[in-house]
Amino acid sequence: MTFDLYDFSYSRLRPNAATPRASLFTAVVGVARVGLPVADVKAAVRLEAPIPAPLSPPEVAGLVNLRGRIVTVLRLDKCLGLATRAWESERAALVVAHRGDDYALLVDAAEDVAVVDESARIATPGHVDPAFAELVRACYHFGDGYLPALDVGALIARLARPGAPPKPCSL
Amino acid sequence: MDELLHEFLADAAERLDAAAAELARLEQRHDDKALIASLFRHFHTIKGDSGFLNLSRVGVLAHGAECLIGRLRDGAPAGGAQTGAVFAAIDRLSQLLAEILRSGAEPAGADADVLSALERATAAAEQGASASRAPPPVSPPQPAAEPATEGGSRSSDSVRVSVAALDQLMSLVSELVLSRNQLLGLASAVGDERIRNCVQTLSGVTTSLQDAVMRTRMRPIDKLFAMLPRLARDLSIELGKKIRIETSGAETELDRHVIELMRAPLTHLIRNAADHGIESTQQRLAVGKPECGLIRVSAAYDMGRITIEISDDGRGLDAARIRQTARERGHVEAKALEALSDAELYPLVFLPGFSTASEVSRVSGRGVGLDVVRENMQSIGGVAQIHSTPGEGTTVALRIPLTLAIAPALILTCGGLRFAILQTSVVEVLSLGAGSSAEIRHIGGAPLLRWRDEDLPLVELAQALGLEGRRTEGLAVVLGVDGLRCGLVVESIAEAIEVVVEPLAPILAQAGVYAGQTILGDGSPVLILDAASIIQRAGLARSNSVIAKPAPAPFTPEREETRLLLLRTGAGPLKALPLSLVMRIEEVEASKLRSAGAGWALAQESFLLPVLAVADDFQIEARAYPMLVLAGAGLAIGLLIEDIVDVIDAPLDLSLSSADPRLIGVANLAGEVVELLDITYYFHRADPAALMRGVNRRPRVLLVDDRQFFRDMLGPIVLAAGYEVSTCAGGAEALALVGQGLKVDLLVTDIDMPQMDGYQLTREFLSRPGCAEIPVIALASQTTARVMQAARASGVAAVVGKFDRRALVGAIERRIAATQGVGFDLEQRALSEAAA
Repeated sequence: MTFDLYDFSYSRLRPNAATPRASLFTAVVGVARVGLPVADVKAAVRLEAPIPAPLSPPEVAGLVNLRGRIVTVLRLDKCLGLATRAWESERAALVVAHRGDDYALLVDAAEDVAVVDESARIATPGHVDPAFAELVRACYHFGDGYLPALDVGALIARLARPGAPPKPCSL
Repeated sequence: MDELLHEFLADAAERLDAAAAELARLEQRHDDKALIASLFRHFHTIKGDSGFLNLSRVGVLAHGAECLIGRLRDGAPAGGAQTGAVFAAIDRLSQLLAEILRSGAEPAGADADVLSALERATAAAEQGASASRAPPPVSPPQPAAEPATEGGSRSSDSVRVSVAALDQLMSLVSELVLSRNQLLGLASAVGDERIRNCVQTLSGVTTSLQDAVMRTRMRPIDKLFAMLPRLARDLSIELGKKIRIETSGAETELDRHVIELMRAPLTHLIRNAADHGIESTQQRLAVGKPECGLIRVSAAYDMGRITIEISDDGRGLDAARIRQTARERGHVEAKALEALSDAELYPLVFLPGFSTASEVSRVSGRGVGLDVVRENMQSIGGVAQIHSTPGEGTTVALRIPLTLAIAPALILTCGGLRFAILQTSVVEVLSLGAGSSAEIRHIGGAPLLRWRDEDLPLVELAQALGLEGRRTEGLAVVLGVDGLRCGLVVESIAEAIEVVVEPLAPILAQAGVYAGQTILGDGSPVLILDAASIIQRAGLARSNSVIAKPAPAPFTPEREETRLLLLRTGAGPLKALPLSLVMRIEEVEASKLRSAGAGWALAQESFLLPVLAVADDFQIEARAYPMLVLAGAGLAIGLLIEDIVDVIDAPLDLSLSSADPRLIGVANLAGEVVELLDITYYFHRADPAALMRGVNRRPRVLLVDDRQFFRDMLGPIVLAAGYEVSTCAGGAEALALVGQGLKVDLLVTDIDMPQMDGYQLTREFLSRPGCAEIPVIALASQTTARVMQAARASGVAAVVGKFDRRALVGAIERRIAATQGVGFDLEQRALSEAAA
């Protein structure tokens, strides 16, 4: 057993010391590069424009039919608080599953699987926007920059959180 | 765990549930031999199985209960001590079963308390028997083998299937339905007859399969109601009040998953009603109520939802107290609180934290667990509504939507997008804008539509969804949910199809206007609009804050029950007219009428409306008269009458036909003799040529099916395709209608019907005078060669799959076109010329 320095860091989230390496599917969103745990990514696909879903949160781009299943398409850039790109022709997306439902996260480019070493992990710095930090499971040194690994569950749970309580409370 | 043990646990649990219900009934009817025999069998079977599985505690308990019931069977009186002891045994057995299910083995422990109670009760029963009556003679021959045979036959004709297996089957069928829909689209594009036939057969089989799988998931709510007598009994004892539970609609079927989820909320609500709603016996007597408190539990289908209502005849909610608590706890701002009516206050009791407060539960009732009810309902997408009348009682309505289901839907377009809406919430579709009879009026900028005799609030879907393109043209889809109605303005209706309702991802569910999602035949996903939410979001629920009773009768295109307008005019009995024939009712001043021909003419904006009096001897005076505007056969006419008496729903059976050309006949409606007007007479007088056109325009289809479900499903489809529809539940009824002179242009009949099958009906129908040339379309669940052969032999013109709407409408179109050749051709030519 090794002493884990990170337990004493000022990070908001304690890194999980049990996994020595992490496999992340990397994707480019706007100016940023993010990673998604490989286990969470079911497929990388290219999507036609989805069918819009009026009154849904702005992060929801709409619905698509992916091999007979209805998939909710999310604007990952919007989820991360980045500027949203207008829809051109086809776009790349990563399909993830959360509690039995499939979601497609729109990205600018789906890249490849990167194996990062836990030793390259840093604590999410405290001055990162909490709205962003909330969605980040861990951060790694990657190339000459950083690679935040997204927490898919937290991302979707945040959107699914009902904005307004049921009727009587909203009086 | 051992499969055998699993089987036993499931079976024993069911038997205990049933035994508890029967025991509660036995308390009411002490000497019901059948109940006692059934109880005996339950414990006997449990005892036998437990011996086999080496579950000694279960065996001993079941034996004790069996002995006691054996005494009762031999004629000993069943008193409170006896049923109480058996109830205790049932409870202990249930605990044991639950423990065995958890751990896989029978827990150690003793049941001396329960056993001694059973023994005491058995001894008391024996004494009671010898004291009260002569020692029972040898009991009437009770075949000893009975329990065994009963158990044996039960297992041979049913198998236990895990819910997961059913779910998987269901999702496979859903996928099959989707590919079927795609294939149907492709097949009609290809246009090859052989492929089309093949696809149609496939389609029929798919539909039957889908129907069958759906059915396996459905369980009557009876299963849930079975626990209620026991609950009432326990609550009576616990609270020292007399409580009776009445149930209705036990046959209502629910998805089995939903039934389980309903168990906790239902128990909570009944406990609340008994504890806080129903007053003590003294209080009840003091206010002149019957001593015994009544809790009614009913289940019913209501516009595509299932509504379970729990109502008590207790003291009702204390609005003042709720107001105070809401203020104290800051649930609602003080200002907003003042503005709330009592009815708007009641839902506050569902708030978390509100109900757990002891003071609310002590004073105003509805205590523990109401937020649990709301949560449970939300988890299955349902709603709980509460309504109360001080001093008279409280009603909680649980409305449960379709969860995973296949349902008929309309696909409508709005702002360039398509949406689906389930047909169960659609009452009618009206066209709006120039050239249509429907006119939009406004109150304070809010659009309303006069429809039948209602003022229909209009909701623009585009606006409601925040889409571009506000419009007051297109179509108004009349929605009806919970007795509330509104018109939904959309651009157009793309199609009517069956959709597989899939649950929404939670992200979309929170938008609050969608009930589900589905994939259309072309593969694109669409969202299913939730009619109830749309009505609510439009603020329309506010105008009716009480729990709306279901509408008197949902609009049904001329079914068994017809909605009739009763009116008075001239001498003689009241006159009646199907309301569906009346486009609107106006009030006209006699001074505005200009004499013209046999009647009058009324100047409208762009044309003269011919106006006739119903009675020939009508003496017009200088006053305002109600005028019925009838539309049909491409013509509108006004009928002057003296007075509108009522609107009633009644089955139309004409007792006497009439020689009077103005009448179809005389009917007995709810004890009143009424003359039924023949509007064709009036159309004929107004414009003799109109009727000829009219026949060509809207041919009448007679739809015969023994199952209401199919009549309700297919009737509106045929109606929407531009035909008049009459529906009948059987061959005899259909032939009687024809005998009474109903002009039918085409007969659609189910093949498989109980009294008279479709083949026989077809033969008899075609042998009627004037009917020989009328085409008959048969509905079959499978269009096999054998069916086709039999159908052809009896004179059926075409056979279509029961769920294949497209094929049905197509077949009707072709056959009608063939019989009405000339007129149709003319119109076709006119249309194609116009198109060119």
